[in-house]
Amino acid sequence: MIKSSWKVGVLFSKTGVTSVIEKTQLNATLLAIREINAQGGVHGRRIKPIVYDPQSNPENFRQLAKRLITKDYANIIFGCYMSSTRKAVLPIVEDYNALLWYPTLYEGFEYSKNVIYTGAVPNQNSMFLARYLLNQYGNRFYFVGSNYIYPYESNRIMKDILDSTGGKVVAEKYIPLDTTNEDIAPILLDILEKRPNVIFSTIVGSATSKFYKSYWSAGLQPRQMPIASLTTSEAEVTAMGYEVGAGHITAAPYFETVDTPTNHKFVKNYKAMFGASQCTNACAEAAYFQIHLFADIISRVGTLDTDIVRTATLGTIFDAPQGTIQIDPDNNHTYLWPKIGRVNDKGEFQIIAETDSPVKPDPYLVDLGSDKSLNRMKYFESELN
Amino acid sequence: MAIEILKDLRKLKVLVVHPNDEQGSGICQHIERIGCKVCMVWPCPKHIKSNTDVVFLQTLQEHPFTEKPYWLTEEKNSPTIIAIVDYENPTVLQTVYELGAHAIINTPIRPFGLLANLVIARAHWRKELVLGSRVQKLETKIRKIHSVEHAIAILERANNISREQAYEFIRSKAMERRLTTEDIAQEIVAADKTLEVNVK
Repeated sequence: MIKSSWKVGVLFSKTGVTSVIEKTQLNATLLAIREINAQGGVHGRRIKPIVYDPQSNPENFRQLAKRLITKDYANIIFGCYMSSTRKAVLPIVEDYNALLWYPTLYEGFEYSKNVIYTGAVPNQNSMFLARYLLNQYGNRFYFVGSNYIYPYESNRIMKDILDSTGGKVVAEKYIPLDTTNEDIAPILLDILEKRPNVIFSTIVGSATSKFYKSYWSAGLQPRQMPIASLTTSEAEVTAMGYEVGAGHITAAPYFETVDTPTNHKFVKNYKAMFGASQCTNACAEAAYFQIHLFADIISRVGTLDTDIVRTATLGTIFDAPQGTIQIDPDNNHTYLWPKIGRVNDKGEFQIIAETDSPVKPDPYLVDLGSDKSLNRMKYFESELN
Repeated sequence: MAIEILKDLRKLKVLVVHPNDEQGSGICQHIERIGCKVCMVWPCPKHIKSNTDVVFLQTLQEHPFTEKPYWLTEEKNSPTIIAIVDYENPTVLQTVYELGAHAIINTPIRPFGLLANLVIARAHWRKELVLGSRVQKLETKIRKIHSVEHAIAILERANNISREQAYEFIRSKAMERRLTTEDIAQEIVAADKTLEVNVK
């Protein structure tokens, strides 16, 4: 007798402006599924992903989510990168009582019982990044971002933290998602003139490379004025080139360089499957561990019923590549390990600060500048120069 | 500013007046997620703690308030009221209107929208508070102006002097005794009343 498979939906873009990072999330998802199936699946049944390419477009995400649920009968969906695409899928999963697993950092201020959020919220990245940059580089910040909701809200959060900790925003600029060098040139001139201590970038997608490359071509020095980001991961550094990325800073709960047995296995298998030059990153890691966590849940409950899966997921503790994480039963987000990494000359993120334990997600935290958990970050180097 | 209201949310003490069921605990959980301190009570209590900042109040069309609890009618120190409604019919809306609710949420409760309503309700509540105290100040001011005018009229008549002279007299007395012109005016008005009585 052939047992049926566990059918699940997967929505990451293989094309469009954010495909560089979303492809790594797709890869990590498929890798985790392959690992589970190689072990014989769950209760002898394989996990069968139904994969669509929403092309980095919110409307496509909405339609494909609906198709997955109503035509393919896949009520469990893994996917979404940009907030605009998650917001497009949200009413669909709520209407049909499906469950979206969202493996991407975002700006917070959301809770839906139909979403499991496995990426970082601002109290798990922005807050620590702001404190580090203020201490290490100075208080004059220049904001550059892509023109959509996540950068606006991230910048508002960062500005709010800076306001309460003695920092200053010297400029706030936005460029289109499909930017050209013509948008970037005047911003670089302005940066040269204003000479901030830090450039805080919330640029996402293919524009990231263009911006870092322009910075590099202008001969600017990361040691004096780094670009700091929450979204520039190993994937973007690979795309822009190591020499371009070197010296810049990112805050995330995971870097490829994390030294845990689970991560060694993840990195080894990822490179074996997709090529030695391919890197893992925080978004891919979340995409990876959420599949393993999900498999663990269905092995316990033996069903894909949304309510049963959700109930079993909340509170689950799991060994992820970044360390032990837990799905917070209070808000469906995830306890994660905030870290700060700086790109070294081999293009790897060297971890320069991290917390000693996972930090509880607080998606509705407003006053980030004075939060007590800030003191939990341990720095591996006291002075940079 | 919305951000100031948002920052204050974590200090808020919230009372949810709702039966202890799935709906009620759903509201409480989301208010806790936002970061407020919350407790739930049912039926609608006669008394509430004086430091209650916000009340989410289930309005039932079967039992409109026959007698409103005092904490809903007080002009001062009344909490922000957010009505929870399960119908949109005229009876329920009349009840909500009479409650003076600052915002409405409807059942079945969805977390999305609760924060927005809480913020806008606090904004309305604050505005009401500011406007209320401004009205009070203006009323006092008008009463004072009225008494000065009255005093001037009395002085003009009694001493056969000009309006300017009468006002100057009030002003100099006020300076001399370190009181306001309104205080002096009130004394004159009071004295005039006393004399009127004596004459009769």
